Amino acid sequence: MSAATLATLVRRDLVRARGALVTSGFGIAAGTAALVFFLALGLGVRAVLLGEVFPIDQLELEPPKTEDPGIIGGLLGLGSEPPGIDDAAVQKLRASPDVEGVYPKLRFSFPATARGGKELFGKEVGTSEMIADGVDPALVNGDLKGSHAFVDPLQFPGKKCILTTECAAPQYCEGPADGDGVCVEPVPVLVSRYLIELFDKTIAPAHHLPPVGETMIKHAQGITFKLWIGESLLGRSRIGKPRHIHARVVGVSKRAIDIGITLPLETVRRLNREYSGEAAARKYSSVLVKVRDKENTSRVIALGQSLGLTPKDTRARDVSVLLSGVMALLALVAGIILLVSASNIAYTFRVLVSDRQREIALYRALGATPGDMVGWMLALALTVGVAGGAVGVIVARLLALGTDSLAAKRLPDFPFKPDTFFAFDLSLLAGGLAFAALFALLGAFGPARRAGKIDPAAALAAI
Amino acid sequence: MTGESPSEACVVASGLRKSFANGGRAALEGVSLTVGRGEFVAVVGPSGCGKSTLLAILGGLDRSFEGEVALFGRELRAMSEVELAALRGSRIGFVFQAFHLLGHLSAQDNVLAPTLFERGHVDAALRALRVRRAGELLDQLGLGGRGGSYPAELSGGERQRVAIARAMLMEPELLLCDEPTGNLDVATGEQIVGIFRELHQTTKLTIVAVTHEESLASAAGRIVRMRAGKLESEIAL
Repeated sequence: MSAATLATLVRRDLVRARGALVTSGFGIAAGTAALVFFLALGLGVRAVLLGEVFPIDQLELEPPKTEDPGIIGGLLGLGSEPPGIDDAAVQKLRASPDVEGVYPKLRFSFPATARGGKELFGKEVGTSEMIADGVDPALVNGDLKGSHAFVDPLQFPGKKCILTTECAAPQYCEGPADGDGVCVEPVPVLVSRYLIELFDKTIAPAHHLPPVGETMIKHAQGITFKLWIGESLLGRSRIGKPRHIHARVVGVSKRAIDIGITLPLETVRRLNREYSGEAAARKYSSVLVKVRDKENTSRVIALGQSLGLTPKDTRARDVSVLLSGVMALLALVAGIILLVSASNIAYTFRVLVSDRQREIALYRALGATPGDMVGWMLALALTVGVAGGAVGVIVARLLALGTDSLAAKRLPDFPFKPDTFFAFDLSLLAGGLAFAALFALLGAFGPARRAGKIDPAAALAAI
Repeated sequence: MTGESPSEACVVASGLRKSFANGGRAALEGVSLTVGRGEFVAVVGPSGCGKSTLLAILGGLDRSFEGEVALFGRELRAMSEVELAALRGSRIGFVFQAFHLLGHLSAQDNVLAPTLFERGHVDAALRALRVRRAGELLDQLGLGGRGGSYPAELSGGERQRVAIARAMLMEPELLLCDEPTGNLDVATGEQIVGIFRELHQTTKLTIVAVTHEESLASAAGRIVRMRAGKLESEIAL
């Protein structure tokens, strides 16, 4: 049977049996709409959570926390040498085919505080303790919006100095507190969006400070502040003399430490050497591993464990598993709707085939094969399925737009609130249509086979 | 039987036996029949004697039987479903007692129904030819101007003429008619018999008509009488 004949038969059926077919298509549309809506919602929420809040394409590995004396331990002289991660372990991770890149991190191993922000808040604000880490500039170069480079300022030393007043602002005099220094630009600093969200939603309202989110994101560069290093409320480092360094925010990065500031790796390395000794400069506190394929994250974790390293944060995995479970549950609900639709289609087609026994027998007499009749019924089911699926996809899209609009108006502002909670991509839409077609075909399969088995002689003999 | 050799015959059936699945009596018990090309054979007999069963087997609509049937020199059992369907679509025409017109199609579209399953390359010129022939057939059968009418708007005689036009559209070599006048009044039945007679005379079409109407049987060149699933007698007219 030609495609033209098939189209003719289906077109005629869509007119003469429109009531029954529309009813069947409605079920398919409802099931598809539910499936696409829930999956788009799950994918959208997952994209926000795993892309923005807990990025899953990267993994931070660190030595077991129990072995790390931390800043207080360091201040108290506990432990001979911080555990850290040596270059050999970094090279082994880099050699794995599952790993796209390895970026060592080095935490401040000495106390520090910060003070500044007059340009932003109109008055100086400060912290009693400042957590900071250093990262490889290659990891964050894409996050820099302005013209400031994310490198240790000592790479571009200016004139020799003893006091900052000898340097042209915003440069400051970098060097040991009681020795000669050089004029350099402020140390470039990155902050996380998480920190900004936290500040805006909790700290700023409590202290009557303006939110910095929009300003920081749009004009991340330029905000300067001072870091007091070697001493904090917790105490003073065992070596080195406390002093000021100047810092400047040069960008917002999801690679930055959540709570604290992120500096160039070399800056932290030399400061650690100055205030904690050579061991603290040589061994990394953690490594950020970019995974080539999210599916292979568990293999990378296993490799890390073989090197004595554990994931710092398992929230991404936990969220991923939770989301997958919720999505599977919602998809199951949609699948049940589609199954009910398929049984509805089965009933409709069973009645249709039963009513048309003589017509089918006549077509057989006029030159149709049993296969032609099966094909006819399946083509009709496919048309109903695809049409129902298309309506379902459109309904899902409209529901998503409505939900986003409602969420924008009714939901209070919260950290990482997205513009849309849904992720519709072509594969999801195509998948929705394919499922609709599949379930329609599934429902019509039995009746279609019956159509092919009708005995034409018996059907035509019945008057 | 005719004097033709099987190779010149349109239909050769031998030793046909068929029992119904429910284990009842046999519908056919060793029926053999040869129909030559251009012959008009009437199969007559009382109701339930196996006439319609024989016709369904000869037309390849019923394949569950014992014995052998050759159509146009080809053994029916050796043919695949596709080959058999192609044979029915192109070389055999069927006319039924109940007309079996499709209620959702106009008379013209009913006549054109066989083109839906036409195999091979069908180009626009061939399609146009079929449409023209459908119109001509309706004209010849006295239905000129009724092509747009639906079956429900036609009388019994008109419906059967539409069914005959449908059977003739593909210019078949064999026309199988199952009680074609059975649902018609006497006068209308006479008209239909006249159509068959004329078709046979003008086109030399091979016709096998199952009937219990004497008027239709008298139009045939040979009458085969059946009783209780067996051929009882043959009369050449």
